[in-house]
This record gives sequence, C-alpha cells and structure tokens, in this order.
Amino acid sequence: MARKLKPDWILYAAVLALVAMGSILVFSSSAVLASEAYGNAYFFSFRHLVAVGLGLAAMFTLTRIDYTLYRNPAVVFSFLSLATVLIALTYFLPATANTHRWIRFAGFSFQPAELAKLAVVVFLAYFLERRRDRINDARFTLLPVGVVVVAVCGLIAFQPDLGTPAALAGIVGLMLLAAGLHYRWIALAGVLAASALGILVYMYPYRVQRVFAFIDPLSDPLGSGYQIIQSLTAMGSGGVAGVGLMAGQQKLFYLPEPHTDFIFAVIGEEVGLIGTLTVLMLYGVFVWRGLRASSRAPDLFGTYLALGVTMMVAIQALFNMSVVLGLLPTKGMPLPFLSYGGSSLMVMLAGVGILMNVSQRSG
Amino acid sequence: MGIRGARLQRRIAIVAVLMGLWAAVIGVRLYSLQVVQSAEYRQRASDQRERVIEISPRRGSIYDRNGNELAVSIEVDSLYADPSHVEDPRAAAEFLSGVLNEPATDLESRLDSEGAFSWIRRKLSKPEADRIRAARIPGLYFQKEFERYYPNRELASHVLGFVMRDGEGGSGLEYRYDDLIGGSGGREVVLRDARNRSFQTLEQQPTEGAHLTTTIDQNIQYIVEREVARTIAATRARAMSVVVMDPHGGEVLAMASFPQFNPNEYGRYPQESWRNRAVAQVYEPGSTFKIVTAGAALEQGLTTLEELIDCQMGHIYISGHRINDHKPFGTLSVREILQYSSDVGIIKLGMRLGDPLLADYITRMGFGRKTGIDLPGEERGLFKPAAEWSNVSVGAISMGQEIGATPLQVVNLLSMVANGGTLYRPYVVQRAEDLRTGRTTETRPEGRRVLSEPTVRELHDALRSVVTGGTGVNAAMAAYTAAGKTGTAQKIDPATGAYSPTAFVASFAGYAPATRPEVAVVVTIDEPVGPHGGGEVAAPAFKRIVEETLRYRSVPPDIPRLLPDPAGGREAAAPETAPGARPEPRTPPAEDDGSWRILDAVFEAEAGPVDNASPSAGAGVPVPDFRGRGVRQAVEVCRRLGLDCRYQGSGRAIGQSHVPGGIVPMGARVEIRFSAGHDGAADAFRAPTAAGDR
Repeated sequence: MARKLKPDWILYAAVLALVAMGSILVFSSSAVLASEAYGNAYFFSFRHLVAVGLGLAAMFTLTRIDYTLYRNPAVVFSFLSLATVLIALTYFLPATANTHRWIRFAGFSFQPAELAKLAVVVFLAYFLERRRDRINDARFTLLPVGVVVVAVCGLIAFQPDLGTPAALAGIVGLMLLAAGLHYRWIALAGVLAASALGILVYMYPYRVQRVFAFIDPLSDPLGSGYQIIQSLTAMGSGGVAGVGLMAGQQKLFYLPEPHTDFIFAVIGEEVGLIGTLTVLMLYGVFVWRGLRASSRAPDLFGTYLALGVTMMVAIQALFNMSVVLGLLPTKGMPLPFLSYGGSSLMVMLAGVGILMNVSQRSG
Repeated sequence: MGIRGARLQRRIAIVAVLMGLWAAVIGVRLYSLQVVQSAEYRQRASDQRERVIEISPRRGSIYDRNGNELAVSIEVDSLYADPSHVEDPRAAAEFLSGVLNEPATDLESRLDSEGAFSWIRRKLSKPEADRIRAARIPGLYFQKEFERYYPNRELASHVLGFVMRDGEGGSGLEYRYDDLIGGSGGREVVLRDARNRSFQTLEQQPTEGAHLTTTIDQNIQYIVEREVARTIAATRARAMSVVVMDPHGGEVLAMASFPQFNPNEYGRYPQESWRNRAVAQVYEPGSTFKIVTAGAALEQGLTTLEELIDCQMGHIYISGHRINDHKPFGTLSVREILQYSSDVGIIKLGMRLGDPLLADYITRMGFGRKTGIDLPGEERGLFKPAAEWSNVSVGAISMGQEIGATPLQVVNLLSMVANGGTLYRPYVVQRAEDLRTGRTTETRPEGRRVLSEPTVRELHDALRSVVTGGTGVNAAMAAYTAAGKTGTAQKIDPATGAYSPTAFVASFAGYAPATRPEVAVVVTIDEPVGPHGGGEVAAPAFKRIVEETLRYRSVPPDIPRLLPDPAGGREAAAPETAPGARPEPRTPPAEDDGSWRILDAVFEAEAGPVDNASPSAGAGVPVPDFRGRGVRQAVEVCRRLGLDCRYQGSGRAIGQSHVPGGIVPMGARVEIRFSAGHDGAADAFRAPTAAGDR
C-alpha cells in the first residue's frame, strides 16, 4: 500500500466545480420561487449552502479515514440497519405531499433513502469481496444480495418513490457486473426488474400516464406531459449560449422543481449548450477518475467501494439528465452535486470522501 | 491480480463504455434540442409566456372643408378571454350567449380554448359592455378599440366609404387613404408566469392616423342629397348621381349617388349601393358630349359660332347609314345646334374634324381616361382609339354615342368651360394632417389648358343659350344665370345589344353663375320612369341644387333684384365677364325671401332713353325702361341693344331687373316681368324644343 497519500486533484476539481455551479444555479432558479413562497429570495440558497458546507466537511473528513475501516461487519451492518430503520420510520411520520420520504428534524429534513444508497454500496463492496470466488453462486451470494436489495428497494418504492430504487438497482447491477456476474444472471435480473417496474407502474396509474407522457409529451400538454414540455422548452430556448444567468423565464413557475429535479433544464436555458455540455463533461471526468480509482484500488473492497460510489453519482446524474431531456419517464431524482436537496448532496459528498480515500491508496 | 484482475479490468471497462454510451445519447439529445430545435422552442416559450394584445390605432378623422366631422373614431370596448383564468366556461358561455346573441357552444369553445388569449366579441355596444362588466366574470377582459362612426349617417357615404371589421378601409376615402389615416397598431405584451400573474408589461403605443380635410362642403352635400332623394322619388329612377365642383381648381364640393348606404352599418346594404356612381358608372353622355365636338371644331377654326349649317330637316347619311335627328331642323347656327341640340348639325361638325382630330380632342378633354381623382374605383370610360372606329363612328361619337363617360368626366368638362379652358384633376382631399409628425400635406390644383380662351368664350355663349332659350330652360334660375347642356341617352339593352326604346339616362351638366362660375354640376338620372329628357328631369334638379348652393355660399345674384332700400343705392348688374373670371370676394346677400321682387317706385324715379339707345361695343349699354311695354316690343328693344332678354309672364311689363338708365355691358342679361302669368318660370321660358333633345 502506498503510504504517500496523494489526493486526486482532478476528481476534487470536477466535484468542486459541480458544487459551485450548483450553488449559483440553485440561487438563480429558486430566488423568485423563494421570495414568492417565503418572502426571502435566499431561503433555498442559504439552506443549500449549509448542506454544501456540511457535505464538504463530511467529504474532507472521510477522505482522511482509511476506507478499510468499513470492511468490518459491525460497521457495514449497523450502517445498513440504520438506513433501513430510518426508511421504515418515515412510514410512521406524517406524509409530505402524499409521500413518506422525509424525516424532519429541527427545521431540516432528511431523506433516508439517500443514505440507503451509500449503505447498500458499502454493504455490497464488503459482501462481494467476501464472496469473491462464488459471485455466481445463487444461494450464497445472489440470494443474500437480492434479499437485501429487494428489501431496501421495496421499502423505498412504497414511500412511494420509484426513482431511487431504480437507481439503486442500477448501481447494484453494475457492481455485480464488475464483480464478474454471468451475463445470464444479468439478463434475468433485467427481466425481473422490468417486470417489477411494470407491476408497480400498473399499481399506480398516474405513473402510467407519466410513462406515456415522456413518449409523447404533446398528447397532453397541460396534463402529464406538462413537465416534460416545460423542461424541453427551457432547454431549447437556451440555445447554444443560453439566455444568461438569472435571466431564465421557464423557472418562473413553468418548470416543476426548478432548483431540484429540473435544475439541469435551468442550466440549459440560462447557460445553454455550453453549460449543459460542461456539466456532462464534469461528470465524465468524475466517472473517469472514479473508475480509475476503482481499477487501481489496492484490494477488491476498495475496487467495489470506489465503483459503487462512482456509479451512485453517475447513474443518478445520467438518469436525471435523461428525465429532463425527455428520454426517460419523469422520476423525482436530484442531479448529484447540483440540485438543491441537502440529503442527496451530503450523502454524495460523503461518498466522494470515501472515493477520495480509495483513490489516495490506489497503486 | 492475475486473470481475475484482468477480468475485473475488462468489466470495469464495460461499465465505462455503458456510461459513455448513455452520456453520448444525452449529448446528442442536447445538441438536437439546443441547436437544431432551439428556435422552435424559443417560440413556444414566448408563446406561453407572452400574451400579445394588438392595440388598434385611432383612425384619423375626416372633416369637411369647414372642419365639420364627417367620420370619426370613437372608443369602444372589445371583449376577450384568458381561458386559463376562466373558472367556469360553461356558465360564462351561457351568460354571454344571452348578452351577445351567440350560441353558447361557440362561446364555450373559445372560453375553453388553449392559450391565453381569445377574442369573444369585438366592438361591443355600450349596454353589452356594461352588462358584461357588471357580471364580473373571472377571465374576461376588455380591450379599448376604436370604431368608426359617421355622425351624418348616409351623408357623403360614397365619398367617405366605410371601414371593415378588421379596421381597414373598405371603400371611398377610407380605402384610398387607408395608409395615411389608418395609423399603425400598437402591441401590449404581457409577460406572465405559469400561474398567470402578469409581471411585466411592455407596450408599444399605437400611432394615430392622419386627419383628412376634404373639399366636400357638408351643407352642399346635404342640399345635393336631399335633391337626389326628391328626384328619385319623383322619377322613380333606378340610380342617380350628382357632382358639384368648384370649376377653378378641381375641388369637389359634393358628390352623391343613389342608391345610398349608411357606412355605420354598411353590411346591411347590398354591395351595389356601395358603388360611387359618380366615378364608377359609365354611361353614354349623349348630347352633353356635343360640347366636345363643338369645342374641337371651334378650336380648330373649322367653324364659328354664327356659321349657319344646314341640318337637312332631320336626317343625314353617313356611309349609307341614315341617322335621324330627334327633330327636323332647317338651317341653324352653330350656337343653335347646341342650343337646340341638333344631331345632324353636330355630326356635320364632327365630320369636318375627321376621326383622328375628333379622337384627339376627346382625349384632351379627359375622356377615355381617369380624371385622377383621389377616390377608388374610378372608371376610365369607354373610348376606342380612332383606328378602331367604323365609318359611322364619327357621327355617333360626335353626338355622344359609342362613347362611355363617368359623371365626373362630364362635370370636369363643364368645369373646364366654366374656368376658361383649363382641365383640372378633380380632388376630394384638401389637406392631410399628421398630428404625430406635425406634417401637413396640401393638395394643389393640377390643370392644363385644353381649349383656347376665345373658343371657350364661344362655347360658353352657346351653353348660355341652352339655358336661356334652348333645351335647358328648366335649369334657369330666378336669381342666377346658368349655362349647361342637356343629355338624354338611350341605354343599350343588354338583352338585345341595341338601344332600348324605354331606358334612358337623363342628364344635365352645367355651371353657374354664368357670369362668374362658382360651381359646375352634373346630374345624371338612370332610367327615370315617365319623363326622361335631360331637360325635363335633370335640369330642374340642377336648378334647385345650384340655386340653394349659391345662396348658401352667399353668392350675390347676378340677376339682380332691385334693392328694397332705394337709399342704399341701386344694384347694378354684375358685368357679364368672360368665363374663367375668378369670383371676387363677395358680400353677404341681403336677406332673401326667395322671390324676385320688383319695386315699381324705382321705375318711376328714373327713365332713360329707350328707343334711341344704340349698341356701342365695349362702352356698355344703358338699360331702357321697359315699364308698360309689351313683350314683343321689349324683346325687340333688347335685341337691338345687344341685351340678353329674359321675361316672365305676359301683358305689360311691370318690373325689370336693372335700374333704367344704368349702364350694363353688352350681352348682359336683363330680366323683365310682365303683368300676367308670371308664376311659372318653366312655362314662361319654354324653349322652342324643350322636349325631345337627345
């Protein structure tokens, strides 16, 4: 193991650039909304900056903590249990907007589902390393993994929240793929996931509408296609150079959640193609450095941990951008590092901290 | 890590490739949205954000020559809906249906439409607007617009035209000057968010249109239209038109046509009634056109006014075709050919000219081409170039057949004679004032001399004779002298292509006062029922119009009455100057009870030599005392002295227009009243061939 701890400045730079862009755009996209709703244009920005501060603190702290500490069943399982219990707790708390996603505490709210992602990643890294020789063993490896993942995903899915389980399933799938899973298992998982998704979609009819809305948003421009049309309108009207920071019009109550789920559309309108491609490129840099750390990690735990964290960011980013661009059905999912939303931001930055630590120890 | 390590590296690479592919899809999508389709989405964005309301500009007013409003724009409310604000489209539609008289389903579809703007009804009446305003239905808004209003209803409707629903001029001056008076529309852009709270309003002010001051005189127009209505009622004619012009420069003082329409509700009238017949109706001018032939022959020196021409007792052969006169005449002077409207006589003059020369004069005097008046729909008339004439054309055209003219062309011809030989471009708009730029455009008369002054003087003499003792005696007035020419043209029956024996266009075109022409007037009556001669039906209308017009314009009578106040001096006859003289500044006339009053006392006070008076050219003629003399004797004396004698009644002379002993120029008109039967001027002045001219 390399004793010389050399931080990956490129990775840092990419993440910090994204966080900085996010801070500006959260203000730009939420100022009118905030002064309208709370009489304070900085309402969301302030909270966002608090989360950024906490997240960066977590990131720098975790960067300095040897990731091998987590290769401890006590740590892994208590983390996983904590996340699961917190998710379960949401069902006993009053619903917000008909969903049980939040735990509110002292004026701040927290989404345990975000934490669950990181918990699953740590668990999987630990478990896959333990089962390194029997990855394709149904009983010893896949069944336990399946039980844990399905349990966590199920709990989240019934909040209801389909986006997070889908992302989580993607992360797990890719980790298994990297760990050497047979393609036949991957195919089977794909079929199962698709049918599970299908069932859920039919259990919640409004989701069906959303699915169709993304295929043909104009069929119901004021109904289920509304969000996508507004999002595409923002994107398209930005053009190459954008209309200018703060100057976007679509965020003014046309775009749903302009500062969270649809912040990418605000970037598209205000900074144009230049802005959107920059964001895409920064994520590319992140994935590149993350996978690099993964492939160079001193041990399999490190490899899987780095891969999991990288995928956690990448899948969510790509998923969010795809939704905003009308390529996937509308799912509430924040854009990592950019969106307003403390839970996601802090968990993501904590994950980056772990990733940084892995990358420092890479050969 | 060996083989396992290699496989791990491969698997990680696969993950990287998957991520890269996904990112590539996103990249392509970004390019297509933000580069390829950008304009389209930008449009969509502004469509949903902006509500653009067109603000209609205020149209410039149209005034008569004295500043009276003929057409104005008034503010009205238009109703529109913002469907996204309408809470209950059905209920709103039902309410509006009751107020606006429109099916509720139609209204509902507009109230429930996509988008943020939809007109419900433009230009509401005041009660409609009030009722809707009182109902306070959410999502319904009013927009100020302007509606054209013609305070005098039908008055001058053909000149003014009308404005269509979309705010554009549809006919008349409204159409012709639409660019100028229409102004330019403004826009109100309301930027809104998805919750429909407007948060920014950009306004582009509309610009008001220019104001037009016309040459029309509202009062003369009224006189004319009243006469048109009276004549239509009396003759039961299909159509009619009258133009009154100022012969000095081409200003149109009044222009009327029948059938009429009310431009405030033009849509309720048949389109035929929108036609401005004065410029758009082409008719065969008939005998009025003889002025052109005679004028050309005189100008060319091919004849003189007093040349005697054999009118062959009623017919003439041209290339083997026999043309009958409307009445057999023997030998007539050229003056008398016009006076009695002999066809044979004028044909002989036309033949002297020959085809090319006659055609040339016709063109010079404005026929076969537009006068250039600033009104839409003007016709050029029908006139073939000489090369296309048949052998008999010269005969037909000489007497006003085989040629089509508009009433405006004819009145313009008379104006030319009245002003001494200059053919002007007639015009209706005197001045356009652009209030915004402060720029004022004045119309200047444009004319060119087409006949020499001596020729015009001769024509004038002949046209005077028409009224004093020819086919146009019914045009003669008590207080004013007049000159003119009758016309009675058979219409061509569209079914047979031949001249109809029953359908005529009766016309009279003339000017007055003959001494100092103030107005030139044409009256055309299309298919009068019963009497159809121009002298019978059109001349009286001319007379009444001119009489009232001149009196309204305070033109001093040129057939003077003797003033009731002897001490105030005796009014001398206005000298009979050559046509073309501009009217001098005039004084308001004494109060006028409309009758011709003679004060015998004056006659007793002075008596001058009568029988010994001899004509002396240029020096003026003393007016004899006719009192007590018989008609024949008085006429004889006048002829000797070179006075133009007109008389009323029979028996002994009891009054006269000029003070005995006063000096008047040669040729001045003297009117004498006799003791019996002087109430009907028409009877008294009946000319030898009052009826039956062509």
